[in-house]
Amino acid sequence: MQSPVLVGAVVYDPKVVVIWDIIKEFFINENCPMDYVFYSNYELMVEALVAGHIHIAWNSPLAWLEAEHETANGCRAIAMRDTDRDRVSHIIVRRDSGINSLDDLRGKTVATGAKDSPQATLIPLQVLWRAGLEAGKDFSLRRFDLLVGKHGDHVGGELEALRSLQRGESDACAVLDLNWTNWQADGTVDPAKLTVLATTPPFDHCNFTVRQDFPEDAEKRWLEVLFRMTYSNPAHREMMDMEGLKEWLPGRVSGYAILAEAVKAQHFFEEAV
Amino acid sequence: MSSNVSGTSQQEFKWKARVSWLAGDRSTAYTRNNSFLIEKQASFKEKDPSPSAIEYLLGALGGDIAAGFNAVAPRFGVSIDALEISLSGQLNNSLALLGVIGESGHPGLETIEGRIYISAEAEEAVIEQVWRSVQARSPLLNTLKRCVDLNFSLVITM
Repeated sequence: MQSPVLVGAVVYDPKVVVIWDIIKEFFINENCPMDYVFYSNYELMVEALVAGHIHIAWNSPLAWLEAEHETANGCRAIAMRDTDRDRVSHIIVRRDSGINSLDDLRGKTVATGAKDSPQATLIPLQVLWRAGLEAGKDFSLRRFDLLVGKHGDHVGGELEALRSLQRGESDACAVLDLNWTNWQADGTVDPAKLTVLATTPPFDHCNFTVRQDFPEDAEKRWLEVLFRMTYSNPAHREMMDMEGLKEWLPGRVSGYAILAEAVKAQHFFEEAV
Repeated sequence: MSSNVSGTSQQEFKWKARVSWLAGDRSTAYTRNNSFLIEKQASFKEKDPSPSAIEYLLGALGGDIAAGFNAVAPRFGVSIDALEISLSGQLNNSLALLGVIGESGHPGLETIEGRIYISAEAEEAVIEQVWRSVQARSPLLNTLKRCVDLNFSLVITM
């Protein structure tokens, strides 16, 4: 019996198992057995990847940087969703706030998601830092540390930051573009009341990460099966809709520069230790 | 001679089930002249070919209560026109069921909530008496209440 490729994933909602069951079943049917191992947080999963307990990790962008850091660049990003590429976050303000530029945020309160959320905290704070605004010095930071360790995947802190803006307790908040679109569509956001003040540079989100020593033939075989998943297959479509993608693409690391800059400037890993 | 555990007798009847694994997450349970399919321990999907083990437990509890009403109500002179029971159960931590590394808690049921909708030609106080009697006689209710937080409410409809 062929040993399964072990793929790690962080879960916060049990419904995620439906996604992974569909992927697992397809791989087994394609004679490329895989199994999943679930973790409660990214730190544990990165440790497991580095220790060789799993072969592949479905990493958040921050977990990717952590894996790179822990392995001294000894890992590769082998695949990602089409929707992981070129994401942006928006800095949102109330239309009636009189805030028209980033500099107008001086002396104001900015709400963010959890401290380890790339999209709702780390990258937006870096954009403000680039504009000469330092948290705690030039503006007050109101951070919503919900489910720290899950790197903002659950959106809870990001949504609380938005609510804080809506309640008038904060003057700005940071929101991932996909959430901004969804929240306007489902009525969470009234576009007549809130508007985009600034947008971050594009960045990439999750990727499948392997250690450098993951065998090339195993990687090739695994990717061939992954890339055969197609939106035109109803079973795959169910998974892809839940996971938010139309197709799997090769991994790339060019989209993590601004997060790497943010992590360094904000001493994230030093403070996390 | 060994002594009995309080509340039991040496001749206590035993019910039996035989469960045969078929494939994947599917098993068949055989009881006397019946059989039924069980799909998974618990399912988070919208639909499946068969109920999960947890759903059987909830369904069994509801069936136990419904049969209890049928058995007890006539003794109080109550004729039941309609009876429906809705139940929902929540685990202590569903992620523990999935074996999520780093999670705490356990995959056991933490709470079961139920609503009993009953329509009968009787005074409300009498129907409540019937319900108390049903609770006293229900095997599953008396089993589960010792380990799960049960919360049932009675809704008397016309």
